[in-house]
Amino acid sequence: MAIRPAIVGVGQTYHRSKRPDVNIGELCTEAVRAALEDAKLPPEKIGAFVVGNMELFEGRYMQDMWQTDFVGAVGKPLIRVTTGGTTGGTLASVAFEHVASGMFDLVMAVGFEKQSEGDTRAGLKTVADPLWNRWQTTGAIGYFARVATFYIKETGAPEDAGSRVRLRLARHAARNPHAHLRMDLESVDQVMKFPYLIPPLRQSDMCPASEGACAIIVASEETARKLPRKPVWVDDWTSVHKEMVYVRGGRHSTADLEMAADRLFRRNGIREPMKDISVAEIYAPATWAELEWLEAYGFCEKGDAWKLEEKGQFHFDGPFPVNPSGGVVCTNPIGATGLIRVAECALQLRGDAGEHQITRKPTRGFSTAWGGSGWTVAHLLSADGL
Amino acid sequence: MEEREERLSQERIMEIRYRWSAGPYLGRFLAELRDKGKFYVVRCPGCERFLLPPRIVCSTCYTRIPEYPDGWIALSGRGILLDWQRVIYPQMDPETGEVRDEPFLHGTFRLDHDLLFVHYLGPADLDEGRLQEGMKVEMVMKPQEQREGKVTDIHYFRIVED
Repeated sequence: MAIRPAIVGVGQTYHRSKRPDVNIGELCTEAVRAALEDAKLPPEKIGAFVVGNMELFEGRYMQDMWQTDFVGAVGKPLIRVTTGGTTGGTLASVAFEHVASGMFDLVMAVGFEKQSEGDTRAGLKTVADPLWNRWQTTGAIGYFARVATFYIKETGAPEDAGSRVRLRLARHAARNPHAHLRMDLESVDQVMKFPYLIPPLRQSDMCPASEGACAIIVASEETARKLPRKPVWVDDWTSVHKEMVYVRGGRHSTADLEMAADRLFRRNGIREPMKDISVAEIYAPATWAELEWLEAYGFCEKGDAWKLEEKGQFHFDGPFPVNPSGGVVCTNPIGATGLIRVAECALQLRGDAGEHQITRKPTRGFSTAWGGSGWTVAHLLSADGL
Repeated sequence: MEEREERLSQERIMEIRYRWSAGPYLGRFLAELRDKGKFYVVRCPGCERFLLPPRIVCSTCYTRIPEYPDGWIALSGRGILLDWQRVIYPQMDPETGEVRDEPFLHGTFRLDHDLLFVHYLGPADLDEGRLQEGMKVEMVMKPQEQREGKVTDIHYFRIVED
């Protein structure tokens, strides 16, 4: 890598199922202003922009053109990234690449979603091949019901394993002022009262549809050292595409997650991921996916994640905090979701996460984005002075 | 008196028509299904894996796949039930946009050559109590006059007793 990038500012809006108080541009402005304020930078310092959201969802062609004014990019380089569920993760990667290339000193990435303005379910169904399997899509719910079914079958996890994940994440979200779903849950039994969507998947196992935006500011090493915020170093990032036509249950089910994490860990000398990494903000749209994917990333052995969950290992104040922000099952403005993972990791590594700050010493952070049933983006960040 | 601020928004419905080309590989697969009720896969001459559906290049080794009939193999239409999902919440039919209220079953089947395939389980099998992993299934086609060159020309898979 030519130039080492650093995250020097992050900002996000509050997230709700509807934000009728603002239009799309104004929603982005909120996140942009928060990031500039965090970085203590005036808007004119930003040299280039990367913006993104889901295709089709809000029904606008060239959304980037509509965003230009609202993010402060008039007259400057700006490109749109729209890679489905991974959009937010790719936004971060592309901003890192802008800086790593040496072409820009300060780059801003902005992701948003305003789901109530269109039809998320209709938009998501268009992911499948119209001539092959679109007719059978049951959206995210159908996909994650299969994840749950297979996880139980392959690991012997009890039916309440997903509910334990929800309970942990609800506790985390209660401490995060930006989180959307703030469910007042006290016991697994209480979570198990939520109705089934497709057994064994319950309503409480799924992410909400949220509206909100997130922005991060990335700087070159030289510039980052001169700025007031403690920089968060970007050590590495990657993305993996899996064969698109496959059936879950086949051997390729989690290949993208495995390859992405394995590549980053190998390249960066991470041999014991739970020891070497102190916080994970992973893009898991369902509770069961969090369990399955922690195993796929190689944090623990296959079939062990639900046991570690029972022991409370993944709590924000536990030995290996996972999604201390409350994660995707509490907040999911899709085009921003992957970027929120990066921003939340950065806050943790700076020690600025407030009420949901991990108690373990922040060293390295791992963030991911996932989408399209076969695409993973992953980032490895580290704290300054490590 | 306090006046509540209006939060104005506007609604439109946009109807867009699409027409997609199937190409010679998937197109042939669908035509054979429609005309003869045959379910074809193709074997990659490079790495010898079976591709479902047939496509122009192997997604693993990027070898060019021959067009029909070279290396194309019709499956028996029989297989094994791997798992099933009872879809009980109202679903939008992706083909029509209409909401389906009635529950239905999706099954995952292991067909010849270990190929996995997802389709409906038939109405006679909607009573889930009798379903078991490993049961034998067979493909049931729609009557000839109802076929349209779509994967749903397969009506469903049904459980067959040993």
